[in-house]
Amino acid sequence: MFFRKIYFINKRFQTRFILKFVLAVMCWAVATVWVYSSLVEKKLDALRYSSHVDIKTTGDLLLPITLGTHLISFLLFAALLAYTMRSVMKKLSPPLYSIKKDLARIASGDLTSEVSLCKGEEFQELTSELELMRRGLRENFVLIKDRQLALSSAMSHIDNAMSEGRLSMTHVETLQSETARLKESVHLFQC
Amino acid sequence: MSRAIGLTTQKNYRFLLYAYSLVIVLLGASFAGLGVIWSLPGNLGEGYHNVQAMLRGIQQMLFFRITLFYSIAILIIVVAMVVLHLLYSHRIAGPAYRIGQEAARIARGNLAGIIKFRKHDNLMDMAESMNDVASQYREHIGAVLEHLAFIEEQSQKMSVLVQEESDEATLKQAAEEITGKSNAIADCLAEIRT
Repeated sequence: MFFRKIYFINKRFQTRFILKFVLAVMCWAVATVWVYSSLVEKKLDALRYSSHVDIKTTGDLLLPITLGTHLISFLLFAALLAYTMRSVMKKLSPPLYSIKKDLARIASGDLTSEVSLCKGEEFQELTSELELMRRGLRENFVLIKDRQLALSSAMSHIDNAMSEGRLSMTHVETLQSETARLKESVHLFQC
Repeated sequence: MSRAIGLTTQKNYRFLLYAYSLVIVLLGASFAGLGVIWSLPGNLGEGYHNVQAMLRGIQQMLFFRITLFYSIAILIIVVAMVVLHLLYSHRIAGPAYRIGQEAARIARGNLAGIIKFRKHDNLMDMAESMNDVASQYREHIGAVLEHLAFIEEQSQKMSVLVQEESDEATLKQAAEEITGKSNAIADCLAEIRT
């Protein structure tokens, strides 16, 4: 196992990811404090205007309210967290699914269609990189195909010259030159 | 891997993120709730008037104590949640960044790389897809280079034959072999739609 040096690697994505959960915590906190304060205040008011007070300690006064409020608020937070998590994960799925389909298409040899996502979706940077990769591969293969055609053409000239009985060194040199050009374009790739 | 078709996460990724978040909030809430009780006088005293006086005192300081303890608890919870979610979001953002880097390398023509992720990283299937991309094109390039080596060899041979003015049958055979390999390259390249 090895550790990464930079943990905040995609600021936009990670900030949004974190903020959604922090927002859920803040909602829970505000609601809990408000409900807890109100209930304690109410209990104190009730006791202050009561003719008989049967509690002895602060624990007797606050513990039942504290436990009750926090238990209910905790259960509500669990539900809110589950919803937040589901919505975050659900939002990440469509762009990744689309990227996977594009990658499978590129792996199958189809370099014709652009790799893109809908506006506002996550992973736009990754998509740009993949689109650059598709373009890079396409440009190189277009060049290789062009040079392969030139090689085929040189071979056709040799066939014609042979059938007409006028094959010369010029024809062979053209073939060698086209072979070298094709090789040069193939060597744009490092395997 | 999870059942999600888009975002594939490691086993327990979602469960652990959920469980750790709940634990953080539970600890924070316990600290705040018990802190408020602990910070107030424990005994309310004896007799109705003493208890009432104590209750008045508690009521006066209660709002401040609740604000104080919950502010501290919320601060701790938020910091802990930020750290936790930073680490967990990084298990998605990190691999995505790594895939982007690999894509840039392939765009520059480097098909040699194989992506390896860390043990807890997500998007493993995307790494496999990227490795598929590199290996597919590597295979094509390998095949083309193999055919080209043969064409080079045959063209050298043809050059010698032409210089020596050899018989037509030998030349024709060399030419046919070159044409065969040139067609094989064309077939190989035809599998890639540009």
